[in-house]
Amino acid sequence: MNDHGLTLIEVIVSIAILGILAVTFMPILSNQYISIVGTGVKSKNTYLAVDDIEQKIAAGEYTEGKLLKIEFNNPKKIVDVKVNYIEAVLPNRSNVPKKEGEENKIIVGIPEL
Amino acid sequence: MKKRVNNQRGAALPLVLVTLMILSIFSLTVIFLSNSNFRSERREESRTKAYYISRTGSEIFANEAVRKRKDNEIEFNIEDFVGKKSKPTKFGSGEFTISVVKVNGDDSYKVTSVGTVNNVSETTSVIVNSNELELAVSNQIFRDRALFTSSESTKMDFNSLNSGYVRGYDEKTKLYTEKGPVHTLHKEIAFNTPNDNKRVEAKTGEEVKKMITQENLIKPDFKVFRELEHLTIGGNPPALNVKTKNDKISKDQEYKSINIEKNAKLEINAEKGDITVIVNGKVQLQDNSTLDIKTKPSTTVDIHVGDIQLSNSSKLNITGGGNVNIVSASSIQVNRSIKITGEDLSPSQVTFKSLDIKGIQMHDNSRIEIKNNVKVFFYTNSGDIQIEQGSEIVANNKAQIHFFTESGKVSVSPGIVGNPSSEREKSSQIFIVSNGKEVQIGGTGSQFQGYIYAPNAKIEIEQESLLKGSFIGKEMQTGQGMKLTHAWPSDEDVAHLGGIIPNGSSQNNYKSKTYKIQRREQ
Repeated sequence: MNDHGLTLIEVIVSIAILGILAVTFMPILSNQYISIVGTGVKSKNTYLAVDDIEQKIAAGEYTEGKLLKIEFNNPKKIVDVKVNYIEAVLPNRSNVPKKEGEENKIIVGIPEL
Repeated sequence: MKKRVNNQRGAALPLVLVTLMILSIFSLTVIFLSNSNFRSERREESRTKAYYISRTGSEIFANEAVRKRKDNEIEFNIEDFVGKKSKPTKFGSGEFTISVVKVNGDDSYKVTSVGTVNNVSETTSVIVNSNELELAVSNQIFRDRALFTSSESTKMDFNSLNSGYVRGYDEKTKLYTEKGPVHTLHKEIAFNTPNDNKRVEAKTGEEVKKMITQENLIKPDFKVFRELEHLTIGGNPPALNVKTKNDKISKDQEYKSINIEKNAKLEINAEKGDITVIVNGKVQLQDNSTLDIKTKPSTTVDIHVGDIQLSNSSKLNITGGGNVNIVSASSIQVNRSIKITGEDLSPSQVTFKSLDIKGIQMHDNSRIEIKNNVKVFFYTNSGDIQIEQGSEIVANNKAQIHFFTESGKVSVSPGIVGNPSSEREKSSQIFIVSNGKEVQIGGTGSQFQGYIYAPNAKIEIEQESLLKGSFIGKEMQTGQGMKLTHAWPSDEDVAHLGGIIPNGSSQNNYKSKTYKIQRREQ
């Protein structure tokens, strides 16, 4: 290598490489940042849903339930229990429910008194 | 060294490599943190779901245990599940398993439920006390113990020759008799068929003792009434003399006295909220006068009076389904005929409380008629309940009337309480609940249809009395020709006596007493 003049090229090349690396890493880093913030929102939403469900329990706002079968063995016994449901939706990070379904809800069953 | 300093060759490669390394570490750290944050959040979400699923399992199973006992479903006994674990039961996005163990020296059951969501588990427990299981069996106490007595020292005499008899119409009605100094069971009278006319005669002088082995009965608890205290006022409030038909009280008021004259009407309107009326002196409803109390289901009208007298043909009408408490510093007296009327579609409740030893008096030839879905409670602490000669108490159309005394005497002179000679009207009931020592249905030819829960009392029934209902006392003695048809109240009839008589607990009592959820126990 020549002692004169080549370092500029090297610097340019290195800046280019760093640029490429930065461009490559930036989306990952920004995604992770969004993910961390989003997780915080989701965590808060979980507690809001818990709050919601506790209030519904206190107010007795339930939907008519269905029959659950609790099965025991030796000897076999089946206990049929009618359960009423209380649900609270868990919004996703963006505060929008991601999809319908039980995965996206906290559900508690309360006994029929 | 000098050579290194003067070295003009670029350091780009090491610089890039070092920067790359730092960037990589930084990025990896961020990724790791973000990932663990995300996983922790997911786990927290699963824990929350699992907690509620677990809670569902323990609550519904404990409730079922108590409810089925209450409904008398003998196939279900929580004892059968002790030491067992259920199969996983799917619920929501997870599942729960239930196990039952005995705790507190076998006095209670612990129902434990493990809820699992995405391999994350949460555990909750509900303690069910065995005495609370008993409490929830609403009318069971009458079914098991009516006609029977609560201790070995008791007796039940049928004094007549071939004229005292007991009728029963359920296989649960059993009468065991014992004879002589050695208490040997020598005769069993059992009614195995629902035959109202089956007649069994008891012989002269034969003692009927300890009809069934049982523990001492729990005394009634009247705390719900103790909270009602008479309020007095200072100053010099006006006297209210109602002469017209239009007088109306629609806010809190204080009076020296209230007199509703003949044929006049006073309205207390609590449709907009609770009302308290304090009267230092006497409240008198003259002949044929009317007190209309208008409420709505959530409102309470408290009327605190020095004394109250309800005269002939006076009427008390309660509409709107609220509660009315009438607390008298002195006695509560009924002269001649009064009517207390509710509203068919809105169940109301009227409580009369006397703080005086005179208690509650129905004078000669009085009549209380209650009807239309109203529950009337007459309560006295140390006072007596006297229903004098020729009085009559009638409950119709889902109405119920109750007499409670903590230590006083209940006496019903020849009179008609209920109407035992006719078919009982559904859900119209008369109850006497006493912790005193004496309940007398006295005089020849008294009639009583209803239920008596007086575990400390001697229940005396004079000759030729006609009875229908269930009677629990420490001692029961009957005169000649007593005719008794054994019947017990339904669950519905005793449901509102929850907390007053044992095992007539209401759902709310059960809920607050039995559930002890151990949150987030792992």
